[in-house]
Amino acid sequence: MKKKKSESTRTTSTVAVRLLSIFVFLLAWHLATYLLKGLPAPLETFQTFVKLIAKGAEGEPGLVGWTLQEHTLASIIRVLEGAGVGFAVALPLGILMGWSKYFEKFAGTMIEILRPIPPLAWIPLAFVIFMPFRGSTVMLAQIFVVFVGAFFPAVLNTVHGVRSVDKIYIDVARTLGASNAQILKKVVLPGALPSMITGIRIGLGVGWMCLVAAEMIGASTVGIGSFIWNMYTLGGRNAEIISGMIAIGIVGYAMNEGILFIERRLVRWG
Amino acid sequence: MGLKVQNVTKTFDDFVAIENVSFEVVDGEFVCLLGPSGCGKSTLLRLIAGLDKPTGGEIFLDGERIKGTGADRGFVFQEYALFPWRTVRRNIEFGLEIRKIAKEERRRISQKYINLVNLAGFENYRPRKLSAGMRQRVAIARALANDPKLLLMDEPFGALDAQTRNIMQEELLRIWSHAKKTVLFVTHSVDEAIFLADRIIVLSSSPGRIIEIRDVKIDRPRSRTSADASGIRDHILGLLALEINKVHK
Repeated sequence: MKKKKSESTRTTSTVAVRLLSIFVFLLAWHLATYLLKGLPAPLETFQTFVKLIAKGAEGEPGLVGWTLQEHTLASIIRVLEGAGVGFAVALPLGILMGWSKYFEKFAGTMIEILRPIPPLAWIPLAFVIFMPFRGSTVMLAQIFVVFVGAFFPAVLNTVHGVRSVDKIYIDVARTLGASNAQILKKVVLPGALPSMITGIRIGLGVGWMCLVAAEMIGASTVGIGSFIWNMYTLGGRNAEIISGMIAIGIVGYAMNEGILFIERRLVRWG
Repeated sequence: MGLKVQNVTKTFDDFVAIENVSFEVVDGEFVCLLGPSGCGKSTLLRLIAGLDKPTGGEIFLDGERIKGTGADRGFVFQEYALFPWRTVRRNIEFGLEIRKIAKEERRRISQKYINLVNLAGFENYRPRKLSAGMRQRVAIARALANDPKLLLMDEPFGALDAQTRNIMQEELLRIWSHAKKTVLFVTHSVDEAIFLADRIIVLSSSPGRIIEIRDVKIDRPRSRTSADASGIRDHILGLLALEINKVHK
């Protein structure tokens, strides 16, 4: 008698496919190194990656001296600062816009004018604006770019979330005696929460991509984007470049998964 | 004392939903608003709840003019409208939270109504885990927990299957006799109205006007098939048939 595939064999085969995928990727990468002269092999990159974690890059004083995780952590802190400020503005603004039709038209018009400008296009202006803050100009500009990148997805998703709260919940709350402020707090906020978290997740992702690019512009020493760019400038540090790219990928993946985890805990009714 | 609807008219742009409707409901009474689809009976209920404003006329509850929504009028929607992010208990406690009643007192009251609607054991379930009938029980308990003077019900059993619907009608009468509330119940089912109501207000199709107010003087518990019920049913179905023919001409 044939049995239906059990849950465990299905998981095992999924894992097998995933392992196969990684194997084929590494194989293709290895074969590509024969065609592309500058590309370091997977094994060499892995050794460099481990070395960067243990003691950082060697050579040029001033550009080296930080381990890979120190560079990464510096970038994560900047992204959290920029995105944090972005969310602190975007979420209340989005709630107001979703709540009031007139405010939506008012603020929405400004947002639609600014939104098509790529966050990186703000960099030169940000340098000029933050020029008075000597010593932190570059870092402030980078944080500002993250702010711009994280702001728009957060505000738009929040507006959408507030708008999509079914009107009947508001009617029910009113018949139970709720005031506007109570409806906002007890109906609109929980109803819009899933969209708000989605906005935060996308905003963090966009902010992270903007930061890495921003770090490659303007002279700075610490930060994962700066690290990659400085390794490129030094020359002959291709395994270091790829190691930095891998670190970016890991952080981006971890942030996305982290927010999804938080969402599953907060939104249990979905 | 009770509910007094006086010359109420509601128009939406050019469309007259209800026209010059007047009636009264006394304390503790169970009244059904019966009429064909689109006769404005739900509109009338929303006006009494204060969710919408009448274009003309006035509505009074215990002598006081209704100006907006208030906790003295509970509302049960056909779609249940349970907050999906709240558990059964916390849905029922919503109105109590709004009125800033202390937690222990909220617990005591919600438990009382959970028991009344036979949902003990389901306190911590979220709405999506419940059947349609159970959801409507929660919605009824949520409205009752707020201790309203008047319970407004807008086709609350319209989405239930016939079996569940019959059970819920019996349950509602049991709850009504315990909670001692005035009920105004909207339905388009003649049988439902005859089974439930002390009085039936029959509305015409649009614009909604009162064509008859009929007492149902049958002792409870009622049989759905008694000669008295059949007599009232035939009479009201005759009235409604005229209305429906009017629309199709």
